[in-house]
Amino acid sequence: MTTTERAGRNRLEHAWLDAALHLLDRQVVDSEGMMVCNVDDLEVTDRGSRELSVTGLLVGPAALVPRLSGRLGGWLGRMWLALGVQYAGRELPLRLGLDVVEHVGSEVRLRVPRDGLLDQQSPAAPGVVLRRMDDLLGMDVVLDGKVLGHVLDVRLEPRRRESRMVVRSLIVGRGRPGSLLGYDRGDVNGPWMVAAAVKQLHRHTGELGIDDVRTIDWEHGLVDATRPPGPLDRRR
Amino acid sequence: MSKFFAVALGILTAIGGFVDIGDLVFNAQTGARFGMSLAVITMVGVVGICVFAEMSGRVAACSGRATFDLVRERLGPRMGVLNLFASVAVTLMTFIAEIGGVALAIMLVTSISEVLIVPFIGILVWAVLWRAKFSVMENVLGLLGLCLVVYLVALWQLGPSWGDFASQAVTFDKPGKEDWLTYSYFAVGLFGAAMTPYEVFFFSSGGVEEKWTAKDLGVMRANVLIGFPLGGLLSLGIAGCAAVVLQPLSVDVAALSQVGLPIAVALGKVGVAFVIVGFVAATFGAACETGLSAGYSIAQFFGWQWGKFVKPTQAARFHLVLILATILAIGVLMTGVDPILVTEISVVFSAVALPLTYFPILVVANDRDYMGEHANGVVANTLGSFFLVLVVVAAVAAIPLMVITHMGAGV
Repeated sequence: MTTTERAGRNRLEHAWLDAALHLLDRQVVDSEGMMVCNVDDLEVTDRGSRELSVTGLLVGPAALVPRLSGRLGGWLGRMWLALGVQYAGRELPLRLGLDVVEHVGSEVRLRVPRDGLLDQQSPAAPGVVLRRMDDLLGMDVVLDGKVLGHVLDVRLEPRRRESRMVVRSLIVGRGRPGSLLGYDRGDVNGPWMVAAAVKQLHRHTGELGIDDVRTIDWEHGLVDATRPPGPLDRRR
Repeated sequence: MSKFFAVALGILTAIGGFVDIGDLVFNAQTGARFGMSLAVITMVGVVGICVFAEMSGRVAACSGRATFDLVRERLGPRMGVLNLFASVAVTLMTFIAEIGGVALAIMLVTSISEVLIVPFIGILVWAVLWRAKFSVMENVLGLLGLCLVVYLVALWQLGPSWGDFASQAVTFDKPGKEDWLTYSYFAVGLFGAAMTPYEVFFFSSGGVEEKWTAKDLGVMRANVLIGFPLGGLLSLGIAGCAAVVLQPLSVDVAALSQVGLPIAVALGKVGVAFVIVGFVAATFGAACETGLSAGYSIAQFFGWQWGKFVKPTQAARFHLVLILATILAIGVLMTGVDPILVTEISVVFSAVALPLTYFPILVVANDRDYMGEHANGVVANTLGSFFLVLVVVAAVAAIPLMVITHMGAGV
């Protein structure tokens, strides 16, 4: 079964896609249909002045282990570093640039074979900071000191020719289970029972345009908004 | 004949789900203690696994993604890794038990010491997983496992009162000396055994191994609708034979030889020959199924290449997991642990892992990115939701019941 026979629609050709729902934790497959890895995290390039874009897929224990600790306050991540103190670049994950990504659908398909493909993430260019999508997800969104919700997902605008996806808006809500299932995004329909329950849990979910974000405090996990999130854009 | 082989995957999956070493003993125990009063539970379990195996098979055919891919993707890495621990623990426990079960079956005919048989079988299972073509494995083991049809023949030969059987089943006619808590424990055990997660891991991954596409949905559904009901029928046959022969004697079934006793009574030496071949094939098939499932789950969670459809060097980590699992199994069995006890514990724990496995399947079967035009309709969603509720109830009740009833020994 060649990869082209399972085409399906390519989200890279759409106006937008959601980082956590459509990209994170997906299987990565190469041009010959061989499995490469899983998308363990996403590389976010921060050029300051609120211009954030996803520029690569991050792979490997250095990317995955911090995502497993959650409320344990990065304890697992620190343990990972402590177990490999003698290694250089222990905290650096492996990276796949977006230039090799061909198709995003039920899996992430690359345009090259997998041999020797995964390499350690290089240091950032001057004036640019490299961050991780997992740090942005779950941040508190505050307006005038009041917490409105958490970042449940990040809406990205694919720019294929530039090999990056620009952060367009943040999906903000009360951060309950079911946010990864797509019901609140109008993506999935049945079954009725689950859809109704999730829609009820996520009735306060909204979309905050990146222009309505004053600052993002990466150290303390706070997004400072200038106005409340608007209604969720459910068009596909 | 080739038509038969097209459904071999379904039959082999069902063998691992309904007549592996744990189920052989559990079903006989059920029949000996409860007669046919739990028959409806087995049938409900058959419908449940059909619903979810069809969904996971459809997802695999339409998208090439097997079930554990969906678990990590839809529940996130944290819940995914919890499910991974639980599922792999259960699957490995069952794998260990199955290899032990093959040894038990062989020891019915020879007196070679267990210490010699177990490593030999372990290495043989690993060799099959390493080298044998997937289709050869499923065809041979599926065909030989069907020797267990001898139970249906024996039941016919024993000539029970079918009316009694039917009324026991339909009215849930529990024998007076057993209490309802123990009945519930057996019900949860039967349901959990029918719907063990490794069945859908194996079935969906097997579908990818067989390179199913959207054009093969008919074959996939034939596998489901022939394989699992057949497995359920064999389960009921074993329980029925035990009900006729062992229940009047108040036998407490704990050994494989007792499971085979009704066949000896009904059909004599020829029947015993068939049933021993059936035992060996079914437990060997279940060992292959659980070994592969453990490898599939781990590889799919981390994104590694998996499968027998590529050369072993191209899926090196997957095969390394299989080697380590085999070494672990041989090591544990050499301590002399009773395989049947291992599998009875694992059945109950698998009930806990059930909701975390079936929920993502139900969600993804509705996702049009994955399924295109083959997303769930109303029927699949209604049945799926109904069984998801049952699965959650079973998961919540499993461990308390096991503790209160002392694993079925009585309150």
